[in-house]
Amino acid sequence: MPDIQPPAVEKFTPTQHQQFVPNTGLNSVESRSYTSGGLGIGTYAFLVAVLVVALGVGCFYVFLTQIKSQSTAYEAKNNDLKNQLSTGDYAKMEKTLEDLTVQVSSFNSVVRSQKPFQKMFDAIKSTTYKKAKYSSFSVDKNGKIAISGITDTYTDLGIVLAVFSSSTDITNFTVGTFSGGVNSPSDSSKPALANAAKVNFSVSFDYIFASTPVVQNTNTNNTNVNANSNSSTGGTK
Amino acid sequence: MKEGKSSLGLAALIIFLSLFGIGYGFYYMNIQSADLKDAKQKLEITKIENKALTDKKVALDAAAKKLIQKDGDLKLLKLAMPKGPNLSEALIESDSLFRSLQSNAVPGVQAKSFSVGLPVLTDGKIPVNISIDSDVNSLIAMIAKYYNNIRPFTVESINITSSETPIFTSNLQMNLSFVPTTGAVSTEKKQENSNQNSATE
Repeated sequence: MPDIQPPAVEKFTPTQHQQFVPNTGLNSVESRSYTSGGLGIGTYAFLVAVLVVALGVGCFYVFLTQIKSQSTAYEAKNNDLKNQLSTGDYAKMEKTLEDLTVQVSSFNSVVRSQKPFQKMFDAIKSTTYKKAKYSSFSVDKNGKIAISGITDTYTDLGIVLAVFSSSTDITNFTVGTFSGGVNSPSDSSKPALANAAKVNFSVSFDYIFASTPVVQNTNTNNTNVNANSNSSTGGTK
Repeated sequence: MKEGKSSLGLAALIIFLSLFGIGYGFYYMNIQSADLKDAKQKLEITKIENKALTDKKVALDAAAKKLIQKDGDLKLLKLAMPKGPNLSEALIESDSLFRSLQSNAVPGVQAKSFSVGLPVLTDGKIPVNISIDSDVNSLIAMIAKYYNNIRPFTVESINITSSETPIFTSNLQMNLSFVPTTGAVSTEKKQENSNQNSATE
């Protein structure tokens, strides 16, 4: 059996250049300390994460506490203001202002309900046919007008009604009644209705107070008249 | 070898605790986030309320100063629209106005009679009826005089009966107003309600 000798291992002597390479191989103890031995980089990362989360929780807590304390402070202020406003001079002032508001609004409504009767009378004058005479006239605050009067003929009455019904300031024009006699047939050249003597009539309508004055018509002086009015049936506009 | 194992155990413990800490941190924030939301909402509401109350206080202070400056106007308003009927004053006022008509305060108006009714508290009105002889222009002038009174009148209705002359007799139903008594339904409102009921029926 030949005696086999292992080859002689030359002692490794680092060259000058190799001396700068650290003597830490992959399996060296120093190398292992980064992975399994000691506190690895992963552990430190977790610790940092914990610190970040803790910081976040801390900030969150401080923020929450601040908001709560602010809210409490505002509540205290509000309670103080409520107390101030609900008692003493402020309460009296508030009541006074409420009363004044009611007074002013009541006054305004009174002023608003003062209807311009001058415009209404002007409008009625301008829509009245000069041959018609009124025996009675009534108007209320809503502009509801009832007139009874007299004309010489049915033709005149027809003109009266036509003028009223064409007025832009008048709505719901209604002929209540009209009646009259017929003249003796001396003037037989005219139709019988044109010869009717003294036709009494009554009409009613709504005057629109807010509107502009009506179109100027014939005559104005028509509030004086005979006070007779018979009745019969009429029609509506 | 022993030293390596202990380091590994320590690292594992630290990692475990870290994970626990992180988990708990997120859990805490998750729970408290609802609380934070409520707190924020509450803060906003209290801020708004605070602004409203402060504004009200400032407005009341300003109003108090203004009321002192406008004392004269307030006295006028009190005369023009009293809180109650002030019947005695209403009677004196109506009487003096009517007497002024009798003494030709409005040319062309002959005052015939007048009457004052009992106040209607819920409507805030005192009915005043006046009868005069006049022409149209004088009637309008008389109405203007009553409209421009410090305690203004309103006209409810005018009834005219005519004669042969341009002078006719007018009966005017007017009202003197005051602040209506609250807590009761006025007759106008009652009428409106009954109209609505009849319309629905």
